[in-house]
Amino acid sequence: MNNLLEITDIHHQVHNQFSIDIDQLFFQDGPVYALIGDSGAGKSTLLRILALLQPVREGTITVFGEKAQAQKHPVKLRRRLGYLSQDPYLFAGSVFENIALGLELRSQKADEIEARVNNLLHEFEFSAFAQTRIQEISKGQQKLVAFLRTLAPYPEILLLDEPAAHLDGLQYNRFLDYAKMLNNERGVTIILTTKSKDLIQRLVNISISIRYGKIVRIRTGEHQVQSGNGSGLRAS
Amino acid sequence: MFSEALMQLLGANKLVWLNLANAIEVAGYAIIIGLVISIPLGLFLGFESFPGRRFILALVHIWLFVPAIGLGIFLYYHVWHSFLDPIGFIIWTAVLLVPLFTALIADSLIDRNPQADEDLYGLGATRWQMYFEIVRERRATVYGALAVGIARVFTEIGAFFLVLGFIYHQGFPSKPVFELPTASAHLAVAIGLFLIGGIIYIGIHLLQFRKGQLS
Repeated sequence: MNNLLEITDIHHQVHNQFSIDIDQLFFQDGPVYALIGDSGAGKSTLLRILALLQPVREGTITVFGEKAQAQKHPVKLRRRLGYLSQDPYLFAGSVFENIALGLELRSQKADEIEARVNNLLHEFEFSAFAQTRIQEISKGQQKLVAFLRTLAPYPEILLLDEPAAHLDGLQYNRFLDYAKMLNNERGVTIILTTKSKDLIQRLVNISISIRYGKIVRIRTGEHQVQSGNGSGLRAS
Repeated sequence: MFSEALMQLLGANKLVWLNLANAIEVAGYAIIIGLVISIPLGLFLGFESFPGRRFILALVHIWLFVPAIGLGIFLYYHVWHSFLDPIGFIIWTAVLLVPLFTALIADSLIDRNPQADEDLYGLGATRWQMYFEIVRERRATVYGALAVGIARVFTEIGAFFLVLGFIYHQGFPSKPVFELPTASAHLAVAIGLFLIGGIIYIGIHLLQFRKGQLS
């Protein structure tokens, strides 16, 4: 398996409270990873570092074999990733326009955008809402729209911050099914943060426990992996 | 005098309409110059974080409270005697406008939700694409700020007419404006400019309501 994402000797201070300190952590092509831990453990910050959205003063981030720090604005690398924030911002306009945004930023042709967005809406049985204004749908539906917006540009790695939050039962099951399909059939690597045990049991292959910015445990399925070896993950 | 001024404005008093037309021309040039300078400055202050940004914003805001006419009279007597010439007046108005537009544009961007920036970068936006999308998202506030700025130009020039009796090609009067035989004409021009400012302000807001941007 290839290393898609790797961080080395990362030290990043979080609000003068604690620091993210990781000697080495790498994510390989294939599994679904979960960053788990209590609120304020540093999961979201680590995910933002991996998504190249949080600059770090110390350490190296390597994405698809390229060092991200070598680029001031690593747009090309970011465009191969798909990041969903915990509380995503949706722009004024319709559901369709929001989902199309990432494709428009990549200057895709209008007919390709239309086909892709309509396809996603159809797969999630959300086509009836295509022209609905974003403020007229529920919080859970907004989260689903943000997820579809992240999926639209065909990311090679998905980085999802609490993707199941606000989703109702039906939306949650659709999200799970689609995430499994993306991972199993299309080979998309998924890294997510979650507090949901159900999500971990049903979707996640490797869990990385974080406490105050330090990796304290790595589990593969039911089997705990010793820190410093196994499953392509090493952590301090 | 007010009713006389209104009659002159509504009637076809050539002096009033000539001055009004010239004032609109002065305002137009000043607005263009002001916008060309202040849009990049406002975007820079609104988007970029750097040491001293708050200080610059504070200076820009302080400039907003400078009494334009008082400073104008001071400049006229002590610094630049020809600033009430058309060119000088355009420059003076543009100088007044730049901090106003800059502050309004920067303020309309600073209080945005920072999650929008991050989500745009997360979706693969370049820095300029992020700027564009945020301005588009905040367009109601930005247009509102511009409406305030443009309306302010007309009311400021109107105030100049009212207080200084500035008449195109005639320069600065030697007496207080209300002692001049043309006092009602000055008032008519000032009323005309106040009305134009008000119409522009209301017009931009109505357009935004129609497009649903302020709903």
